[in-house]
Amino acid sequence: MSIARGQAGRLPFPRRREASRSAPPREFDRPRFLKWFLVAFLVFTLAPIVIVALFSFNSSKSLQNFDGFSLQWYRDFLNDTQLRESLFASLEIALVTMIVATILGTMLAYGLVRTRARFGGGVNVLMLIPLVTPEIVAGVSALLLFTQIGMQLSLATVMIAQITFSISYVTVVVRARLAGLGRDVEEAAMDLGATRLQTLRLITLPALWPAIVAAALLVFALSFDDFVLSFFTTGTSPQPLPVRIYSSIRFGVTPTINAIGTLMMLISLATIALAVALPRLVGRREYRAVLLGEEA
Amino acid sequence: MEPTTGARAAVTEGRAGAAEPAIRFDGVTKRFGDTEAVKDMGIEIRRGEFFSLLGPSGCGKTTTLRMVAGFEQPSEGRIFLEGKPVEAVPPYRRNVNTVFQSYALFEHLDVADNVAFGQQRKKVPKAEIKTRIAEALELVQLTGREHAKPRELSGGQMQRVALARALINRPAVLLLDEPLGALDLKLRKQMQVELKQIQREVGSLSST
Repeated sequence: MSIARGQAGRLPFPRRREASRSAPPREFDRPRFLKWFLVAFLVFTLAPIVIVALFSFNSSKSLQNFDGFSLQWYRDFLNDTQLRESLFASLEIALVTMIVATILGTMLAYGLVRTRARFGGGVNVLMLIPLVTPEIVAGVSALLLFTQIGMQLSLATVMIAQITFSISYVTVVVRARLAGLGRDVEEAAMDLGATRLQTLRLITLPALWPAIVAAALLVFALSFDDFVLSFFTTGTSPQPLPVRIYSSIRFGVTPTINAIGTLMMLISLATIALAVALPRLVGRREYRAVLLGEEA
Repeated sequence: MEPTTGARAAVTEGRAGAAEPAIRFDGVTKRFGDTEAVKDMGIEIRRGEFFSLLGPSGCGKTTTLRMVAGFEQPSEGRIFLEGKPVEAVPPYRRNVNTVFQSYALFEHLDVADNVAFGQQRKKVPKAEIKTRIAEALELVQLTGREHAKPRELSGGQMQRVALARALINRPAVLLLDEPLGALDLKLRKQMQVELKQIQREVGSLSST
């Protein structure tokens, strides 16, 4: 017994079979109390969300008692022109940010991985700065910049600020995938008669496609419910939805906020679900037809 | 066929074979920084010849092949393919195809599309591509696997796809970078035999 354990002790983790033969399996690889961490995590994460969603369907104004099912707060929200404008403003910002940041971020990733750029090292560090900068700092400095150069605060300034700080996310995601795609695959395409542009279109982009989609949807979700950057860089009207919610909360929480919150969460969830599902759904033969206009 | 036409064709072929080597290196040197990967290399390889480069790793075999394919430019000297200097010719316009050491198959395309890639770039008519795919796959004994994805294939099968993908274009020069390195002994023997059979049709330079 002691000899057997001495031998097994050489491995950092004794193999399960050996353990079960000599002694009852010890559960040191997954302590029981971790289960309670998980429960606590789920309660603290999900409970507020569930409550918000639940009370968004409350028929009364109460935030304590559920008095019956109704959709009146959703009606209220959709009938409120300002809030509706804010929702569309947020969607517009997220969409533009997603498209521009994805294009720029992908190009940056390609440049960093595939070229022997003279400033490659510097750009690599520079690219990480937005990821580690506290958003409040980014927001304040963006505000200062815009006022310094005399730019009117508007949705455009929000977009510029968000695009700037979203590029890095795209680059990090796409770069990882690109690094995994050997250079020789692109060389093989050129060897077989594809020009650089054809190689990019037919080989590189299709291979990067899942990463690009995932990055784009991540940026959309981040941008759609971003508060800090938007708060500092937005003009007065229309304001992005999170900023609008914040200002209306100062006059008291109404169940309309719950309705908005639930809707926003649904939009974000749908985005994430799309990010997970899309590469799988279109990862088969037909995606070339969809994406590249080629017959499969 | 009319005898005169046949004779003329034979003469042309003969002349091309005798006068113009498929590959000619003229004093080629390649330096990476301070290291000389290839030093003052001068070789001629005729059409239909099977030429192997041997040597320990890091002695410049792959670099030599990459210069022929067009992925590297010689630091000094010139390379001629079928009699013409190629320093200004980009890889995608050289009549050279490579079987990469890592195979470098296109993961998102199936076997048939991998093999068809070169022909599609040359705008060969679809019906003809189809027959050629069938021929090429038969040559490497992969008939029936047209719609398999590269990740569903074994190492030996992937290599044969890479080979078919290059051969279908009937290149003047076929480059094989460590063609048998990744295979086990049995497959290696089998591929050697197959390569010898295929060799009669193309001039080939290989590195083993």
